[in-house]
Amino acid sequence: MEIQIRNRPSFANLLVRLTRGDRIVAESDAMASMSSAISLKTRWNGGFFRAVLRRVFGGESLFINEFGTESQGELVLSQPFPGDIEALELKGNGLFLQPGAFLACDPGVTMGLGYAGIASFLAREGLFRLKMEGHGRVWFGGYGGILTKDIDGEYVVDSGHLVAYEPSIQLNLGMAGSIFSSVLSREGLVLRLRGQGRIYLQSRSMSGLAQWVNNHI
Amino acid sequence: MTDSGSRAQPRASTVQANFAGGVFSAALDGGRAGATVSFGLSAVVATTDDGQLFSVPFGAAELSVAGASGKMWFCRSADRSITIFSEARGFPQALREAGRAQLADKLAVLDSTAKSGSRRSLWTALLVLLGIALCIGAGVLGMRQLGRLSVKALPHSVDVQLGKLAVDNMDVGGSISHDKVLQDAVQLALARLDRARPTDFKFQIRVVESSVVNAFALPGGPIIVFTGLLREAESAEQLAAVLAHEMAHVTLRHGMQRIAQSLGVVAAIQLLFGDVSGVMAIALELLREGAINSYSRDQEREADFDGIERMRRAKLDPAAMADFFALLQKRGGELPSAISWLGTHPELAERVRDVRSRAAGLPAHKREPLGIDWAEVQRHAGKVVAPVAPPAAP
Repeated sequence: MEIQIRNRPSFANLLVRLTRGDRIVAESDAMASMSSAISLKTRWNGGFFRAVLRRVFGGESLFINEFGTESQGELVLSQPFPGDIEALELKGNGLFLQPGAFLACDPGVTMGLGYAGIASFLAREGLFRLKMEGHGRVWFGGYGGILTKDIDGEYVVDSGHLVAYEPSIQLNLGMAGSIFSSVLSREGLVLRLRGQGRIYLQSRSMSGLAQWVNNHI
Repeated sequence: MTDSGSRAQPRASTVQANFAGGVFSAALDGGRAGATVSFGLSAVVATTDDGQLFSVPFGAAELSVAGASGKMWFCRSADRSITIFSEARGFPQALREAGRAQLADKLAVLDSTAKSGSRRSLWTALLVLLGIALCIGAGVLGMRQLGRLSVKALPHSVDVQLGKLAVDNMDVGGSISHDKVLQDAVQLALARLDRARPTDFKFQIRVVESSVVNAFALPGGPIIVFTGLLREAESAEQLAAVLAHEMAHVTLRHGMQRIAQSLGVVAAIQLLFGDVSGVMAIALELLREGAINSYSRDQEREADFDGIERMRRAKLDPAAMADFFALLQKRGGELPSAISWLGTHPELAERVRDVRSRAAGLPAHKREPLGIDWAEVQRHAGKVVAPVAPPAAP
């Protein structure tokens, strides 16, 4: 199986070349185009109840698509918003994905839904998050460019900019500065990430865009 | 060589358990990997899935508890090049056992910070929830006040416009009755009540054929009286009481208040600033759909008391209102149509009591009969009665 992330960084998409026996799991509705030789099997995203939970809380679809082929073919997977796609190989470790970030993964990777905590909810990062675990590659995307950062200590991320992070990172809510600075600078609540591990950030936030558009209507 | 915890041979372990976890190290491809964590004689050992081994000796280890779950334990080597972590259940206990003397003081420090940390976060969570609850409560109360204030700022012409639009466009639930006897009776009662306490509202009353024992008023003055009410009321004074109550809803602008509350703060603000047209369109929809049929209990009580006062000034017996409520209560079972009245006028028993005590508390005043042949009215409204005596002279 050959996979290439094309048209980076603004309109990234995955070009997957499959041969007999290869399989790839993707988010429902991620398929933009494919050869007729590629077959698609849709199944519940981890069983019925889990699928419902993931839909309601994880921002993921009820169903997951598994693509395969008897001969060979190609498949293009993309995400609805403009931005970059990042690939990561899991070697028994885990990765938390924010709702809506997941795009595709190898069949050996498991997808779980976890409670993200009040801090995450108040920072508008969602009440739940997806946990990817196992062995295999994961492809996820964000709005804007994806910035990778290894942190060891504390790092401040504005709400709406977090895409993925390792389970060794702790999320804390904080204010950007003093109460006055926070209110007047309109930075408001931020996430203080603490620990050792890797975080993935997106250079744009959806809520930021929404507010910007609103002000210009 | 083994001091700073490099890749080393594991010693024979005294604690057998293995835990799922991981390891951070620059020696790994990608810098991290999942691993099985176990314990040697004096070190924490991690074995990755492809066989690489890492160990962190207890003596120089740096321990911390953190991670996204808050329950992940980290063992870091002295030179900070290797970190072994796990959030598996049972790992902390196994670590305590394996580490014993060497880790005792480090573990003690962690225990105390962990306890206070979790307690603090619980308090924070509770405070946040309380804060949210208070804000919602204040918001709800504030909206009601804002609703009342914004309505005060509106001229009566808005009420009138709205009421006229509503009554022209709504389905009143029956055909308009043109029976002269009925028309004259309600007009007489209305005129008497209006004269007693003039306002700048002009009331227009319509009689509608329906078995519904109800009457309602729209903002600005239109009043609808159903023939069911005319049939069931026992006297003209009871009709007057109902009319007085409905007139109170108009003069006290209860309908407008309900609209303002239903439309929310945005509408209230819009009304305050005088942008009426958009809000009117929505208000009309709400009125038509009967979404604002029910007044709040406070509003009903206000209307009851205002009606009593109006009855008194019109030289009519205010107790007639309580009599009518009592009638509805009693006849409740017999009149299925009464349910719609009850639906919008709950707790009749309480209101009967309140109205009676209020009426009794008023200074005695001269009474003047309305001069309506009620039996005739009831007949025209469709009530079937025993042979009727010739109408009394008015």
